[in-house]
Amino acid sequence: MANLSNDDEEGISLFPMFNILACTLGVMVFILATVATVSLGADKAIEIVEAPIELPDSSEMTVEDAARGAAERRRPVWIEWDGVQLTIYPSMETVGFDRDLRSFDSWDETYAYISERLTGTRVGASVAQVGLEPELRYVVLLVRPSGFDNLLEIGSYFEFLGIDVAHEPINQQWQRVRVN
Amino acid sequence: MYRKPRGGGSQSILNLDSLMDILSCLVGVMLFLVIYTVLELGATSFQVAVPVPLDPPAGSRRVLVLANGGTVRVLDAARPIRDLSTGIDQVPVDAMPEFVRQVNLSAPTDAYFSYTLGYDAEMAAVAGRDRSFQIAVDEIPGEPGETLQELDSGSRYASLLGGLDPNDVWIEFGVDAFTLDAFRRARDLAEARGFATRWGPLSLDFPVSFSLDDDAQGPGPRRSLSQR
Repeated sequence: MANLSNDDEEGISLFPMFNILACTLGVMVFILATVATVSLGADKAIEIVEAPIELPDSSEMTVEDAARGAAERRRPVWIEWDGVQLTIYPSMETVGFDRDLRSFDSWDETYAYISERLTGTRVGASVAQVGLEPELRYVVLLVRPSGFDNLLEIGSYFEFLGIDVAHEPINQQWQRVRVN
Repeated sequence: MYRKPRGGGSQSILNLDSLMDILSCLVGVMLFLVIYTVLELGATSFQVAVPVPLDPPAGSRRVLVLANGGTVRVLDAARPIRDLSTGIDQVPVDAMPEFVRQVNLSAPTDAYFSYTLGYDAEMAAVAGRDRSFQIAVDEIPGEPGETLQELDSGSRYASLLGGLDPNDVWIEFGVDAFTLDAFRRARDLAEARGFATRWGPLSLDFPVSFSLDDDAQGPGPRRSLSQR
C-alpha cells in the first residue's frame, strides 16, 4: 500500500532559525559592547597627582626653600566639590548639601550648617583628621564648574577650621577621576 | 546504475557545525571587545598636577590672567593705571572733569584691553576723592586672546610673561567653565617660568569698572574675583 509520508522529510529543522537567532543575538551583543566601549573608552581616567616641588641642595637652601620643603612633606586629602556635595577620594563617599551655601545670612550660619552635614560622616571624619594635623596634611578641593559659584563658602569653611586648601578646577564631564 | 541518494535525516539533525561556527565567531568577537574595553578602562588619558599652595613672594604684585571664553589674556592694569592717574593729585576738584577728558583722549591700551578713567563728582562728595575715580576696562576688538592650541612657548602670552619678573609678580588666573584646559596650559607655562600662581572662578562681561583704590595687593578688577 502506498504511503505518502516520508520519514526522512517529515521533521522540521529548527537549526536555520537557531542560526539566525544566534546571529541576531551576536549582532546585538556586538552593538551593545561597542556602545559601552565608546562611552567608557572615550572618557578615559583622569589621574590627578600632586605636583613635585623642586628644591636645591640642602647646603644652598634658603628659608623660603625650607618652607617649600615643609609644604612638600604634607600629604593631600582629595575632596571633590560640585556645588551640592563633597566627595572624598578614593573611597568616593559623599556628603550632600540640600541648601545653597550662599543662602545663609552670616558666615556663622553657613559654617554651622556645613558642620551639621559633615558630622558623623566619613568625609567629616577625614576633614577633622586634617584639622588635627595641619602640618602633615592639607585639603585639595577638586572643583567642578557647577561648584564655582559657592566655592568661596566651602573653601572658607576649611580655612575656618585652620586647614590649608588648594583648589583645582576639574572639567564637568570628567567621570573617572583618580587621585594619586 | 542510478543509486538513490540515501536520506540524510539523522545526519542533518545532528550536524551542529554551522551553529558552532557562528557561536565560536561571536565568542571570539565578544572576547576581543572585552579585552579592548578592559585595556581602554585601564588607560589614563592624562595627568593633572596640582601644585602645592605656596605664598607669593613678599612684596610682589598680582597680575590677572583671564581664562575666559576659551582664550587666555593677560590683564595687567598696573601701567595703564599709572598712566591714567599720573598727576591726578595736583588737579583741583573743579578742573577734574576736564582733566579726565584730556587723559582719555590718549587712553592707554595693552595687548588685549583699553583703559579709560572715570570720575564721579557726586561720589567724591559722598565717599571722598579716592573713591570717585573709576578705571573702565574694555576689550580691544579683534584681540580675542589665545586658545589652547595657540598656547606654547612662542605664544604672545609667553612673551608677555617674559616681560614680567617672577620675583615682582605673581599670577592670578580668572577662570570660567569653558576654559579649563587652556588655563592649565597657561598655568604650566607660568610655573615653568617661576611664577607663583593662584586661580579663582571668574567670568567678566566687558566693559568692567573698578575703583582706583580697590585693591591693596595690586590694581585690577579684584572685587569681581573671589576674595581668597
